[in-house]
Amino acid sequence: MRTEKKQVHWRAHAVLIVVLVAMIYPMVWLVGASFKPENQIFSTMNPFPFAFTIANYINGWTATGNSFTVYLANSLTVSLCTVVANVASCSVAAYAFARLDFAFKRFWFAVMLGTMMLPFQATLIPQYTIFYQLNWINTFLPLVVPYLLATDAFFIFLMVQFIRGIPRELDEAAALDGAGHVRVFFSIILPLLRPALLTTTILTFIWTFNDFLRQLVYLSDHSRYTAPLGLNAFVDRASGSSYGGMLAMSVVTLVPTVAVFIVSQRRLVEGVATTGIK
Amino acid sequence: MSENSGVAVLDPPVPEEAAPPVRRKGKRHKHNLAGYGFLAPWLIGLFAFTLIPMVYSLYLSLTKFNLLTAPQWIGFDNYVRLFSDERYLQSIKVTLLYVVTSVPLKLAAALLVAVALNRGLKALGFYRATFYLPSLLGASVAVSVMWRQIFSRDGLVNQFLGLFGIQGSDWIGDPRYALWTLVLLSGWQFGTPMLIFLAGLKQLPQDLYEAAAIDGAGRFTVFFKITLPLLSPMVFFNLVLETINAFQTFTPAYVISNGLGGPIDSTLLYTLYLYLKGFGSMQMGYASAMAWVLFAVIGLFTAIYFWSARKWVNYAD
Amino acid sequence: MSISRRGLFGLAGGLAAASVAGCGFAPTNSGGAANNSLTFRWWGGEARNKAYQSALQIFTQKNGTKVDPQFSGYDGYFNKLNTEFAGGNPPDLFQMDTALVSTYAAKGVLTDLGSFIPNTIHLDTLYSAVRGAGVVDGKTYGVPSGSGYAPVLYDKTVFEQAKIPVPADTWTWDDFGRIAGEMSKAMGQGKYGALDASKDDSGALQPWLRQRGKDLYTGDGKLGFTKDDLAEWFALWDKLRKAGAICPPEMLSNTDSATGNHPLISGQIAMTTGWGLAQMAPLTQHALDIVVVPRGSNGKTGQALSGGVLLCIPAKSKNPEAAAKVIDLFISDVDAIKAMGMSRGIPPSGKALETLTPTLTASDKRDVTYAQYVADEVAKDGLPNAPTAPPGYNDAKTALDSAAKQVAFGKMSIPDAVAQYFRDAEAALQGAK
Repeated sequence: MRTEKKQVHWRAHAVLIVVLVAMIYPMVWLVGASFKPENQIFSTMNPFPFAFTIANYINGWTATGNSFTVYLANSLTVSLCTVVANVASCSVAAYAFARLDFAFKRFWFAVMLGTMMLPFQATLIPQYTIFYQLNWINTFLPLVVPYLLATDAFFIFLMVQFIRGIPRELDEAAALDGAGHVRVFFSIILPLLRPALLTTTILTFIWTFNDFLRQLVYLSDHSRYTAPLGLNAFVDRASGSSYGGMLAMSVVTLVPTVAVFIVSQRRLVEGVATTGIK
Repeated sequence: MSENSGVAVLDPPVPEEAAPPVRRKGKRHKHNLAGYGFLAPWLIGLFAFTLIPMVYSLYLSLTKFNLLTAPQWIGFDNYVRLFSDERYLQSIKVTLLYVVTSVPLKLAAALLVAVALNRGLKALGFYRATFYLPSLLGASVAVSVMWRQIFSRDGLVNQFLGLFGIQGSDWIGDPRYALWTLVLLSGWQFGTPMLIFLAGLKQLPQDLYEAAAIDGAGRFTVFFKITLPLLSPMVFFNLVLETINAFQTFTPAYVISNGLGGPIDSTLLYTLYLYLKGFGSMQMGYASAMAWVLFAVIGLFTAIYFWSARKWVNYAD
Repeated sequence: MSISRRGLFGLAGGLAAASVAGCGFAPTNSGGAANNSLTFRWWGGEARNKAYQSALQIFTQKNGTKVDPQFSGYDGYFNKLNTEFAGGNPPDLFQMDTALVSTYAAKGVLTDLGSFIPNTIHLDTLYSAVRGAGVVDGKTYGVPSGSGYAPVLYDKTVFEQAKIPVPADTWTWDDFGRIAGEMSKAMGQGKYGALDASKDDSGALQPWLRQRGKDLYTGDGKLGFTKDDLAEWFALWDKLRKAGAICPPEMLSNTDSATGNHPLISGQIAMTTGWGLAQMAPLTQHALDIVVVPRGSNGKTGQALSGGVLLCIPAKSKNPEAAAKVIDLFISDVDAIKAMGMSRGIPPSGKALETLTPTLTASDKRDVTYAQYVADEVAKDGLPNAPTAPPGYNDAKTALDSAAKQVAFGKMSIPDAVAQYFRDAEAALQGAK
């Protein structure tokens, strides 16, 4: 019995490793290329840097006007605020949709889904005009405040699905004990919603950290630039590009997202032991 | 329901009386005050930042608008012109092909890996992180440069095929294959649905599995009879959202084809053409009309999904 | 429960830390509203960004006006700019593409710089041939910040390996085809003598047309050539393609993207038309060089001087006077010209070139000598200056790209592709009026 289990594990590992190698090869190329001298990045196919250099990192850090320290700090600020805003506002709205019975619920739910169906390119200009009227251009406000008001329907819908996976008897029992909706939400739903909240945290952080077009449109001042805008300044078709710096800083920009993912996913797994539903 | 939930899940789902949008006669809605209270932040955001721009873009779709001067009302002209625009029809073809291939590929990969990673293998955190790594990259210039390097004439893919004596093409440059490299890119970045599946698996009641183990159920039986039905809300969510996203896929096509949708429009995805029309050719009225046609199509797909969900999605509530 | 509460505290702590770091939530005071500041937007790579910024420092020292430099890559530049124009909030001064200036000017969103010439903007310091680069309907809407003639780029190392003499400045289109064919043979399977340039409007088609006394477009906003011209042009390239002298169309997509993936860098081709020496040379271990575009059988080069990028002032600029002074700084201020050096290509004026001559490096000097040689040859052509691209030309350019590739991929016959081009290009020019 035990040996059989071990064999299964070996086979599973083997399959996973083969798939993994194919999956991460492009990443290996990226990291390898970032350590190559610029004249070998594209002219040689080998992913490994035989003429190893860290010049791309040193030059790239300050090559685009401001230091990448500023861009990364700005990206972190925007991403962390968006995460908090999204987790808080979407869970509240999701509770209403998943658990409460109120007039026109079906209608509002359909509207909520509808807000995801129009491509953002179509609403970019009117949205810009609103934020311009509010005098919010060139600040982080247009990037964060909408999330504080649960405008990202993706996560509301996600949390609705999760809340509906939580047996109703739990909150009904609490309600019998005299708990109101606020208490049910905080003491029953939120703790059990942990996997969804962590998923929201990871996804929101990564998406915000990598977002380009919206940040480009709303941020103009260099002291407010985020990492994707810093990366964009490396490459220009007409006046010369610095690929080494761009690739090196792309790798640097990956570090915070990898860190957030690793920390959060560990908590996601721990979640089973502590809050798994019996 | 919890004491007999094992049975309920294994049985064909019964349309439940307690489905959420219940209408009871007499006292019609139990939680109007609480409901709208919890919904208030969303409602404010909806009206302030979402609905107004949407309505304005609907208005723009009925105008000729070049971004620089005031829009001129032209009624339904934009909508009529759409269907005699060859490039528009091409973009529909490309997009449908992309949606029907990339969504199943991505979801299958995500579900497979999520289920595999949810088992008691050692070093799971490492695998999870590595599988998620490509999704962390997003779609940046670095991804574009890298993808081209891999699929170019003497890139990695062709070197690999060369081992078997196959002379590969210039994949991204060939109109027959260019779209498939985008489908692969999307499949490669399956981290988001994988994560959602993983989180969903964490929520499953463990006692069912214990019961199944006692019954001596096989691996496949457990997967199809327990895991999949219990996970159906997450499958449903991923299906709906990945479909919406696939219809609106923009950034990968933008960075890989450098915003052109080439070669010869073979990767001209819908929103890419919309973007080229709106911001490149400065025909924002036309682009807005395109956006609203897409809105209707996605709405239709979503409605079909929701209608079918009654038959296959099981909620614990 | 306790864990989730800890999680909430953690998030709240993160928020607090972020808001301390996040002064980014307050509005900036550098919005160009005050009289002594303005915003200046451009796209560019590292070299241009550094050059412009050092010139702007000199501007602030001399005038006391603060300039907020807002630069980015080309990606998304016009998306952002158009959104701002539509929202009524454009920057005070911005960099413009020569192919687009008339589109914006025709809509009345640019400032006519006439009132600043000649007192604030000393336009007469520019070469006469580039002065017209930003002129639309007789009015100046943009001032060029660089100039040059698009060359043919070639890989010198590959030519040496093949033991084939590099192209001479007197070569013709026939020579081009012959040399490309010889190189294809010498370089071996999967490699080609030249890139397919049938889609290249300004780098290849324009000189070819001007050699025959025509042009891409006319001064009054129509196409400057006939269907027969275009059919002949496509046939020229089709013959080379079938002979294997130029690359197959699959390779073309790598030239649409960022320069890093260009087949010249991976050594897959030996020659290509267009700009890019300065960008590509650092990316390859081979030696790259430039040569004049092939001449017509009458010996004419047909080259049109490109004003490179233009500087324009929106009609809604909050500080047009200061913006005009910045424009002048770029074309006539000795200190600024010295600070920028050759980073924006060959300077667009004799005065700038004179200023720089003592400090030029050997390779810069070679570039300057070459530019002067081409300028002299072009002067011998005796052709009028090329008109400014008309409104909507950008879409006509896309139509050429599409028609040329339809032929290259064998999806359309030449007459069909020509018909498609004329239909789409004429509609684009008509629609933009």
